[in-house]
Amino acid sequence: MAISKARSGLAVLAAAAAMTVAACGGVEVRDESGDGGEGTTDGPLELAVVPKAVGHEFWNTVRAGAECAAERAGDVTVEWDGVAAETEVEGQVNLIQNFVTRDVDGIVYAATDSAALAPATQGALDAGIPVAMIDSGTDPQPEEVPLYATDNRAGAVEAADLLAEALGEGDHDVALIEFQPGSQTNTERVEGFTEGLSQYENLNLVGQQPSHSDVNEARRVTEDILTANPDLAGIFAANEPSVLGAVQAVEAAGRAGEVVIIGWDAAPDEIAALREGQISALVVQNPFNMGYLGVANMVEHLREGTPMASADTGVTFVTPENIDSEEVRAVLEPSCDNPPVDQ
Amino acid sequence: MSGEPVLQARGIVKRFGHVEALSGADLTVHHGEVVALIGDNGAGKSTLIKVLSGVHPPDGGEIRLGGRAVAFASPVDARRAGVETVYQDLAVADDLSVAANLYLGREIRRRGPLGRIGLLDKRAMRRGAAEALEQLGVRIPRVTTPISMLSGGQRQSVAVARAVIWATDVVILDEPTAALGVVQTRRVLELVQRVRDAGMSVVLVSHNMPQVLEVADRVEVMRLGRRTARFTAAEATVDDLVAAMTGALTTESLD
Amino acid sequence: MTTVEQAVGWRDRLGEWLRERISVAVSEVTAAAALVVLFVALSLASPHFLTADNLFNIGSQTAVIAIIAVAQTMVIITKGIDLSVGSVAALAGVVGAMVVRDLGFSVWEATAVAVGVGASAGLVNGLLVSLARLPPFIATLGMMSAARGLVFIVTGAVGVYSLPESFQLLGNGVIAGIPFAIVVTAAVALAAGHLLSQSRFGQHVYAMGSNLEAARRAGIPVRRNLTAVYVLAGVLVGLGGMIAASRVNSGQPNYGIGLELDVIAAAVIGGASLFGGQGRIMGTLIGAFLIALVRNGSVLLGINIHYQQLIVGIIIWAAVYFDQFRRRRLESRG
Ligand SMILES: Nc1ncnc2c1ncn2[C@@H]1O[C@H](COP(=O)(O)OP(=O)(O)OP(=O)(O)O)[C@@H](O)[C@H]1O
Ligand SMILES: [Mg+2]
Repeated sequence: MAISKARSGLAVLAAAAAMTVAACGGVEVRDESGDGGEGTTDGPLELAVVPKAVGHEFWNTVRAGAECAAERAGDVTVEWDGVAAETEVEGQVNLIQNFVTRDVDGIVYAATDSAALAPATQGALDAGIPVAMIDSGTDPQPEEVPLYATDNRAGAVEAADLLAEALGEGDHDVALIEFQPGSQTNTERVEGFTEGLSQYENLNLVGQQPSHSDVNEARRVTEDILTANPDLAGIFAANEPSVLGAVQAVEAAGRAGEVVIIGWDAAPDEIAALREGQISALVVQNPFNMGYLGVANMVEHLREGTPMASADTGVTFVTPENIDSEEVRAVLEPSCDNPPVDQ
Repeated sequence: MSGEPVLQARGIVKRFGHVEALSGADLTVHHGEVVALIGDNGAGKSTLIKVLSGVHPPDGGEIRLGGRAVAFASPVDARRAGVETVYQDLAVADDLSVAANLYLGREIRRRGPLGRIGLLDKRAMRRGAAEALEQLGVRIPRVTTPISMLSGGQRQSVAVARAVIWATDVVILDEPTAALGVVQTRRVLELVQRVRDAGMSVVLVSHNMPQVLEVADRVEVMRLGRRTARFTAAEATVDDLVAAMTGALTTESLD
Repeated sequence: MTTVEQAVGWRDRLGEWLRERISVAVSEVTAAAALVVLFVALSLASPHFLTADNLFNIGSQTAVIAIIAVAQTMVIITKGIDLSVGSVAALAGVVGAMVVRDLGFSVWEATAVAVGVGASAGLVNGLLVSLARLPPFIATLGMMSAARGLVFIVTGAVGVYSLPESFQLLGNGVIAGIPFAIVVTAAVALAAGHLLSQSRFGQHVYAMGSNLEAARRAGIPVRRNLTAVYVLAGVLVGLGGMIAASRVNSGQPNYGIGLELDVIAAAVIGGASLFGGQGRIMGTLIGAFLIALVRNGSVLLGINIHYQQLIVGIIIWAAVYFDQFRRRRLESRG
């Protein structure tokens, strides 16, 4: 018994050794094709860029940023693919694994779930594929993996400030439309907003409901909150579908302009509602910059061996007053000719 | 029993994949007679009946109805030709009411434009169903009761009644008394006799030999997918029938 | 012919009849009772519940789910299931929005287009089930994916925005003081209810779901009818998708993910059986509104979303338990 156990232990060791050798061999091949030493690669690069979900303005802007960086770097192909809904965590895990199998040169992605995607990131690193996260990272996040994202918490704290400013003196009932309970981005915005709100004793959070990033759902819960709280004075809606649904609900209730809405993101209909006065201010992230920084740093890492470092991609507070300024325009209508990035 | 048979099947072949359920089966039914079709389990009785009623297209052989060769493409064709069948599995819709089952596929529509767009005259069907069942002596609590709430015997009675109500020439009954108690069985047998008295012909599949000898005019025996023996009921004994079913006795020339 | 059964008194007969009616509709009756209880409870618990505005809100909010649940009910009665309703509704919604934005169609013309999109998807589902003989689960699972793919292809995965105000007429319009969406839902439910319970087609649909072979032997054109059921369902799904888009004045590529579960829940709570042959429009409406009341009530009372989902789950269990209970009792009688 003891002998056979020892033998099987040896067999495992041998197999592990063989695999290590095989893995090293793979790395070596990669090294030879590059200019040696640092594990850098010359020639064409194929990068997978994966959003949380396809189908929202936000992610299309990320894509534009990623493609802009790729174009500027030259000889870089962006493989853009994503799941249909942010809730398809499993699907995103598989997608990342498929890109690892395809042996792309690097993966730039936004995690739909911080815990569930951690092994997927690790799997890519184990296969020798560098990873950069955009918008949402994983938990734990390996040291060599950078995060290019909005500081959601800080942005949400300021959203509370904007709401307080717009409502002014006196006691006011306010509501929060969150989107995906359990997701990290959502948690950060909710925590930031409630933290910001706690600075104002005159603001009273009377309702908090999720939209599940569905406009119809957002409209429904906002309608019900308005029904339950006839004195509601302000709403903070924490992402694009939530904002659009909240605007619809307030308008349907005949209270457009009376209820202050602070939104997040900058879809065309959100901008239109801002111009029409239905929205008081929008917290606008810089998704272009996320895609841009993710790809640009990844390319630099692959070609020059520069380690990638995390960065805050910044937020802009858009109001009817500043919407036509040069700086805000660059964020709202980003283009590769005048990208909203620090170069 | 002279003249052209009402229904005649000759050399019917039916295969299911490798299984040859019927290998040249014959059946003859004359006007106004009750023919019992007997045979061991798996002899091919139900298959023959499904061929006769248009459920299965035969792979060979000929069916004649009133002397003319017919090819039923569907059960509807057979019913249009006046042949009604009660299948061994009954073929009733459990979730529909008794009345709806009696009129299944032949619903009465309302008069006028509402009928033309397909609206049903449910009241007429309820009344018609109640009258028909009353006439046939079938006791069902209400014609609005779903079949699923009936007892096994009541379900079988409804299936038999449906066939009898619509038949004009031939009624085929595949083990119509299998699930019935003594009283209900008696009632079905009386029904069979009344159908014959009304001038129709009946094909009755049964495993109950005394019952067969009691109600049938003639008996045809199937074994391994073909007819092996024919008897006049008045002249046959239960022992004869059993011998024919087990292959100990044949009256037909088997080539 | 002698009768052996004793003549029974009219009292007994009335009792029998009542018992029969109740056991036929036990899920429906239970769901209706739950709806009434919940309605009364919410009226007492929240001063805002029993107001015209809130009731109209609930009606409009439930319109889309109710209409699509009606479609699902028809399919379930045939012993089928339609998993593609969410994707097809999204497809109809974005196409409806796009023809308004890009081709200048009116909202009514767009509605016709959306209904056409739904009907086409339904036709494909129906042919896959009736001609290609795929199990409904598989046929509509394929459509669920294919239609969602089409949504992303035609929209380029971007929401369809910048629609004229008039696009909202269908979902947000008001007619004689009543939200238009509620009127449409009522009309759809009435028509579908009549079709199922009063027409020959409806009778045949129940017969097919109850015993397909029996229906076939009775001469019912089962393939044609089956196809027709899926097409009809598609028509309603297309209409529902268009109302949903109109309500939020945009075509949402991500609309309707998980919608199939909501509508199946509504149908099942209302007494439809996944074994086929059973289900009524009235029951499904009750089911849809029961779910809607739970959701509305939770927001009014400030109850966390997670509890809403828990409660809906429990209601589904209870409903199906009653259904099984009834079946078992009937079988033990049969
Ligand atoms: N649909 C079918 N597919 C394959 N084989 C079948 C089918 N129907 C019948 N058979 C086979 O054909 C043979 C005859 O069956 P059939 O049902 O006609 O017998 P039966 O005489 O009616 O028997 P029973 O007295 O048990 O009802 C059997 O071997 C049966 O397995
Ligand atoms: Mg048989």
